[in-house]
This record gives sequence, structure tokens and C-alpha cells, in this order.
Amino acid sequence: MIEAPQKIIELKGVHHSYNMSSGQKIRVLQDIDLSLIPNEILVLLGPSGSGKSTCLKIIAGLLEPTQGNVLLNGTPLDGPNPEISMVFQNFALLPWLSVSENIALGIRSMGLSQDVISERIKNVVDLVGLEGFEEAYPRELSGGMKQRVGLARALAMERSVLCLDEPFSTLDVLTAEGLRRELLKLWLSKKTKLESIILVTHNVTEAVSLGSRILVLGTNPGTFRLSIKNDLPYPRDEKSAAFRSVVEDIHDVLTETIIPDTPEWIPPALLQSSLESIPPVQVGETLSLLEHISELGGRAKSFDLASQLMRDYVHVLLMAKAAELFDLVDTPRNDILLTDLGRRFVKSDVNERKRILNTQMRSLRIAQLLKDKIEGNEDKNLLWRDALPWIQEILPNEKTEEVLDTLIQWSRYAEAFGYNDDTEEIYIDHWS
Amino acid sequence: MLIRKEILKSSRISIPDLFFFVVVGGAILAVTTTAERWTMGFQRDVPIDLSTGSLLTYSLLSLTRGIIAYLISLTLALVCGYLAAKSRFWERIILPILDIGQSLPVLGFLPGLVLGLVAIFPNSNIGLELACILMIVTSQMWNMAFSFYSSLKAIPPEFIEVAKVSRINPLVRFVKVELPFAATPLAWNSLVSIAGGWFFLTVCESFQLKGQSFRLPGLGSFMAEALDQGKTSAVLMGITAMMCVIILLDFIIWRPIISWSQKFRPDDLPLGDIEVPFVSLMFRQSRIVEEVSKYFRALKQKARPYYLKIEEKFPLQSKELDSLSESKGSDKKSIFKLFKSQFRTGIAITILIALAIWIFGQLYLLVKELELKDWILITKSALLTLSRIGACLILATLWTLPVGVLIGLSPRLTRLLQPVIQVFASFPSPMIYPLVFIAFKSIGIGLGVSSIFLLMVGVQWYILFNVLAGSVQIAQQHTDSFKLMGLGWKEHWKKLYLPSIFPYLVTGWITAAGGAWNASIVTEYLDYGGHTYSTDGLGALVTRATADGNFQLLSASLMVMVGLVILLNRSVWKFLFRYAETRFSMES
Repeated sequence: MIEAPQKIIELKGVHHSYNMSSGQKIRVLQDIDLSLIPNEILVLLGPSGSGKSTCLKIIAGLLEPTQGNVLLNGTPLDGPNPEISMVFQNFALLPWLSVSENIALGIRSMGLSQDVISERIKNVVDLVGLEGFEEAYPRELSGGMKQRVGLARALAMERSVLCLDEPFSTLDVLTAEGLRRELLKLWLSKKTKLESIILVTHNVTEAVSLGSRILVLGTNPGTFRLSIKNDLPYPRDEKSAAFRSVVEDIHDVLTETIIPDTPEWIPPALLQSSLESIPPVQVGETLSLLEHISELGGRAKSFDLASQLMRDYVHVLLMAKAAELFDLVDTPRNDILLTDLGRRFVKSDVNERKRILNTQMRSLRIAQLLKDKIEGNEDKNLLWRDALPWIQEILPNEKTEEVLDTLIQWSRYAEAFGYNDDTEEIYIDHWS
Repeated sequence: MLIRKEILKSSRISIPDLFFFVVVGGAILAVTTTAERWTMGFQRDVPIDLSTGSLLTYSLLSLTRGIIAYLISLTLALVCGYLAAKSRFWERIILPILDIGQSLPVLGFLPGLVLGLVAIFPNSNIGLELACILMIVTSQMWNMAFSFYSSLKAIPPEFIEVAKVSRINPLVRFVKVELPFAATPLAWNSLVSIAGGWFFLTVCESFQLKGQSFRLPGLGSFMAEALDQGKTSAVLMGITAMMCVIILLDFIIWRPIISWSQKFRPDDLPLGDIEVPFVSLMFRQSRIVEEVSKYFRALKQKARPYYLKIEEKFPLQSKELDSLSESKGSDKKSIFKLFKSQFRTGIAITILIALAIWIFGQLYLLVKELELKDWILITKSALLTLSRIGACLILATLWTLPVGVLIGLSPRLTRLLQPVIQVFASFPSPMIYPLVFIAFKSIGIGLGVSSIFLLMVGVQWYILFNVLAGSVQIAQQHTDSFKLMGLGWKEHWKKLYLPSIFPYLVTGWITAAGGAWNASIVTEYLDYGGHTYSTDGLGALVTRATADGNFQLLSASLMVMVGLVILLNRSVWKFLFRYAETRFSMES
């Protein structure tokens, strides 16, 4: 009988919702069960809006979940978590303190002697490679160096768990790569008291190259879609087949949560009746995506597209979903494939494109509903703020303002509906 | 929602229509009442009617003065700001004037202004009214001009280049590019200016000069009379009316303007939640407004062909583009231009120097009769007032700092209390000086000490407002990281709150100190209930000299006050400001 590993931190049945300014309640986390064991790098991976940062705040004890329990070594957590230190996306350094003062801040409240404090600072400065910069101020440092200070401050606290909230996302690719490698080396070397790491990221490659366990979160609301145990030996080779296979698995899950594969054939009538909003992407970028696919021969892998266009994978998927809604692409598995209409669309000039989108728009269920709604009004227009509660009624689980703004944006391009920014009225433009 | 709309539509006159009538009707009433006042024969000291009914008239009169003054200030601010931003020549002249104007304790100049203008218009009330309005203008135009100037200077060059390349004429450029850019800061500065304007309005409406009292009918004189007669109900009514005017203005003017100006924010950041202003909501729902705007839209459509024709005949092209190519084309011309501008600057400087010599000569003639003991008295008084202002700032900081941080760190409290603080800050403190003074007197504290608190009544809000603005900026990441590091409240204050707020605090101090110098003129010397209470101080000296008609002492005191204010601005405040900016800037 193998003893179950001891759990440092445990989340049980956690739910969390935010109150929006419009009075709407947005559920950001639902049914979260999670545990952190010693000697692992746990990655929370998800698109923006999946609630992964909220989840981390709950783990850190900075936020109390609306529902559910947080346990630290088996006992309920109350207030800031004493076992963790945190590295922030925007570094959270105080501009009026020097590097060493910033680092000292973390150990100030521990009642250590001045000697021990300086010893510790010297130690972590050594570890993260900040020698010579002790007396510099944050504004004199580059982004990568700033994040080293953030890391040093967290390490100086000598806590057993290190939480990193998108720590590399504001850095350029090379710097991020270097820091990632150093972090890994530091953790593997066991020179610190660090036992486990929790990393929040939206970058799939980053997740696979660091994580020993990866939890994939989906959006609306944030729930765990997949837990992957990643036993590849460190340091990991991004080009190896094994690495690619883990990445593929995660892509599949992300794709499935964003563009669910539908059965082979659905009667058109049924397809029409399903109510879907246009995903929150821009018209222009989606058109560029279509053109790019056309140049690649009309078919491309979504992951390749993401890396070629240097866009977030999830964002590419959302664009594909939007295009699919207008029948311009098909999305079998991880591929994006131009339809006949899509091919014609790409070849057309602006006016023809608008005509095609207009035709497609008129068969969109949500557009039809909007038209009925506007025609039901005496003035033949709909105020933006009156449209909000209506959207909330028909699509209760989505961010109403985002849905409406995206709908307006696409409608404007397709000239199906117009919107007057001054009077805030939505009106029917061309509908025949 | 739908049902309500239907009901509104079915009845002939809806609530929004009613609201529209009230606004338009009020404006008409205000204009006619003012016109009547202005054309009446000269009345130095009007009797004030303390009945509730007359309060509406008084409110309208005060409001009209405030609005006229603001419109003049706005025009001047736009002109000065534009000139200074567009021409190096004017910049060199206007900026120093703005700088000094901003720091002047203008209240001290009231008597001169009144006597001068009354002499110009001996047979009507225009002189007195103008004095009041000009007083407000000189108190409120500087920061607006500054804000407009710096907005113009901060317009990204590509916008100007686009305007030049597309050959937009300067007027269109002003309306479509420059004004929108300056809109938001100008709106906020206007709000601050108007708030300060009430202070001067209430003082100007009722004051003593050469033993005579000058009074204009308005809320300020109503309050003064009510306090004089000791009528508590009238005092309360006056305070309520003032509050109503302030809140009403906030609703029907400032909120719409500020939310409108948000449209022009140069950054592409999401707007966050902006509430739809009450007025535009009302106006949008009013059928009358709808009809009128429909009519105008149709008119505009009809006029369009003519407009285009005119444009064809007189092409609106930028002269600057031509001058640009000109200066490239021939060096001769540009040298000539350079010479011309040098010449112009030379003449201006000569005139300025001559003017300065003449003014100082006149001032010297004015004060040369004063004896040494007068100068000693002035110096002693100045030090006393200075220490009062210092004490006032310290005391105000002691409570506003913790309270401001507490409010600022909680978004909920900020949303709730910010408008309330705004109203308090706008309330003209001279209206309640006697009340505060009486309260202190009843516990045995004389004006010498209680005038510190009188100063506080008016100026503490500036500090609170700035502390609030500073603590709202403190990033969640920092508070989160402090919590995780287990730092106590002492560390929070020392390492996070105080450094983050300090630059804002300095701004608050500077504004408050400026206000306090002005306020000292009306806090160290109080006329109340037929008695005059006064204590030693520069403000009291100015007021007493005014009341006695001792213009030599008045000029000397004013000179010392102005000199002191400018000296402090140039040394202490400038140093603190620089220090805060370099040491505690949030930019990392």
C-alpha cells in the first residue's frame, strides 16, 4: 500500500463569482478541486477569462472564495497564506526602494537580525544573478532584471511554495526563455527551501516545458477540463516528439472547449435555431487569418497558425470559431479549412465581401433576433443600454457588453446593422 | 421599462419635458433678473429680504454671476493658453503672468477694483457687479489657462501633422483636434475653478470698505444678513440653498461635461464604467428636445449644398503649410522673420521693464509715508499668519491622510464618498465662518486660535481630495504583495502609502496654502452680529486697512503678502514638488 502523498494546499469545491458594475454576477470559477503536493510544479493553464489568476489569489489567501474550502496542511486557511511567496506579472516592485531594500521588504516582518537579513539578501542576489545591482532602483533595470528582483524577493522569504502569476508574459521572448530556464535550474538544484511551484500561464509551451502537472481551465465559467501528468525529464526539448505530443493533447482539449466538434450532419433548420454569439474577436484580424489560410492552400493547423501569426493559440481558435459561424471555414479537429464560400470570400473585393458577410449575417440566429427586437420598437432603433439586458436574457452566461460590442462591430462591417455612437442607437442598415 | 415609456409618450407633457422647461425657464428668469439689476440706479447697500421666497431670486442672481464669471474665465483661458502654446513670443510673456496670477491672494485687491469700477459706472450697479465678477475671474482663470496650454503642448505631433497634410484650416483644427484633446483636463480644472469661485462670490457680495458696506443681492449677502440678525432658520435655509445650487450645477453641468469629455480621451483604453449623466438622459427622453434637434438636423442638411459652395469659393486652407514651404524656399525671408521676431521680443521686453519701473515707482510713492513701526507691524502680522497657515496645513493633514487612504483603498467607499467630498469642497466656507467662530468662542477659544480652524474649514478638502486621488492609484499588486509578506500597518504606511501619496500630498498642500492666504483675509477679521472680531495677522491687517480706507497700509501689506507667497512658491513648494517627483514617482 503506497501512502498518498501529503498535500500542502488543497482546494475543495471552490466557486467564485464577481459582481459586475452592471449588476450582473459573473461566475469565474466553478467546482474547483485542486491539491498541491511536495516537489512538483503545478501549472494552471487557460485562456484569459478562465479565472486562473483568481484561483491563484484564492490559494494565496488574498481572496476568499464565495463557496468552498481552502486547506493548508489539512487545516482551513484564514488570511494570507503563510507558506507561499508570490511573483507578480508586473513585478510589484516599489520604485522608491533600491533592489536590496525591495528584497529586504519580504523578510522585514520576520524579526530577523540585521546580519541574517543581509546574509539572506546576498544569498538570493547571488542565486538570481543580480550581483552589482543591489543599490540600483527599479527604474534603472530592464523588464527581465526587474522580474529577477521580484523572484529574489520571493525566494528571500524562504517559503515552501512559490506562486508565479504570468511572470514572463510582459517580457520579450528571449528574456522569458532565459528566466524560465534559470527558474527551473534553481528549483532542481534544491539550494533553496522551495518545495513546490504553482505557475499561472496562458502559454502552452511554457506550461509543458515547466509543469510536472498541468491543469487546463476552460472559460465561462472557469472549470478544470483536463489534468495532465507530465513526466518528461527536465530540461525538456521542445522539438522532441514526446513534448509535441503533450502539447497536441492540450491543444485538443482547448480546441474542444472552444470549438466543440459537432456531429457530421445537422439539419439546417436545427443549426439555425441554435443561439450562438460571435466570439470576441476583431473583424480585421479574422479576415487576415482567412487570407493567411488561403495563402497556405486553404487548410492549416491552428497551432501552426498561432505560431506563424504570433498570436495566442486560444485567440486563433476564437477567430476560427467566428469564421465558422459565418460558414467561411470548417474546423475538423485541429485544422482550419476554408469552405467554398470562404474561398470566394477571400478572392472578393471589399464590397463583395461585405455582401457575403451580410447574407451570412442575416441567417445568424442572434442577428435575426436583434432585427426582430429593433423592429418591435416604435422608433425602429434600439438603445445600446436597452440592448444589454436583452442580451443578458437570451445569453445569460456570457459577458453581455463584450457580446454586444462584438455583434455591433461585425454588423457594422457587414452593414447589416448600424450604430450611432452619439445617440447610442442600434438600427437596421441593409437587410435584403 | 417598455410600459413606462408608453405612459410617458401618451401623456402630453412628460417628466423630461418638465425638466427641460425648468432649465430653460430658470435661465430666462436669471437673465431678466440680472438685466433688471444691472440697469437699475446705483445702490451701494441693498436691503436683503430674509424670506424663503426671495431665496430663489438670490440663488439665481449668484448663479448668474458665477456663470458669467466662468464664461469670461474660460474665454480668457482659451485665448491665453492658445497664444502661449502657439507662439514662443507669447509663451514667454503669458507663462510668468499665469504663474504669478495663480499664486496671488487676489482677495486683497477687491477694494481697489471696487472703487475703480464704481467710479467708472457711478450711476448704475454695473461697477459693483463687474467688480464681483472680475474678482471671481482672477481667482479661477489661471489653472484653466495652464491646463489648456499644457494640453495643447502635449498633443502628439502626428495629429498636428495629419491636420497640416490634409490642409485643414486652423479653426477646424482647433475644433476637431486641439479642443477635444484638451477637453478632459479642462473640464476637471473648470470644476475646481468654479468651486473656488463660490468662495470669492460670497465674499464679494458683502464686504466693508472705508466704513461703508457694499452689498450685492445674492446668496452670500443673504447669509451675511441672516447671520447678522441671528436668524437660525434663515441661516439654515441659506446653507441649504447654496448646497442645492452646488449639487444642481454638478448634475446639470459638470457630470454631463465630464462624461462628454471622456469621449476625447486620447488613449484607447476601455472607458471603464461611466454613468450616463442624468441630464443627457433627461434630454434624450424629452420629446421637445427631440423635435428641436430633428429640425436642426434637417436645417443642416438643407444648408449643406450652400456651405459646400462657399467652401469652393473660399478654400479653407492652412496658411501654415504655405509658410512652411515658404521658409524652405527662401532663406532671405526666414532671416527677415527671425529679425522681426527678435525685434518684437525686444520691444515687448522694453515695455515690460518700463511698466515694472513705473509700477514700482507708484508703489513706492504709495508706501513711502509708512513709518518703521508700520513695517514692524506688517512683518509681525505676516509671521503670525504664516504660522497659522502652517498649523492649518498640519492639522488638516493629520486627519485627511488616514481618512483619505482609508477611502481611497476601498473602491466602494470612493464611489460613495467622492461626490460628497466634492460638494463639501465646493461649499464657500465664508458663509459659515461666523458659525464656526461662535462655536469656538462658546468654549472660550478666541479668534487668534480659532482662525486656524476657520482656515481649515475651507482648505482641508483640497488635501483630502489629493490624498484620495493618490491612494486610488496604489496598485492592487502592491497591497497583495504586502499582505503576503506579512507586513504590519507601520510598514504599510512607511513603505507604501506615504511614498505613493507624497506627490499628491504636495499638490494638495500647495493648493491649500494658496487658498489659505486668500482665506486669511476673511478669517482673521469677522463682522458678525454688529460686532467686529479681529486678531493680529496679515489678513486682518489687510481687511482693517480696507475698512479704514488706509491705502498706504493696505498696499504695503498686500505687497508683503504677494512677495511672501511668491517666495514660498519658488522655494519651499518648488523644492518639495521636485523632491516628490524625482524620489517618489510611481513610474518604475
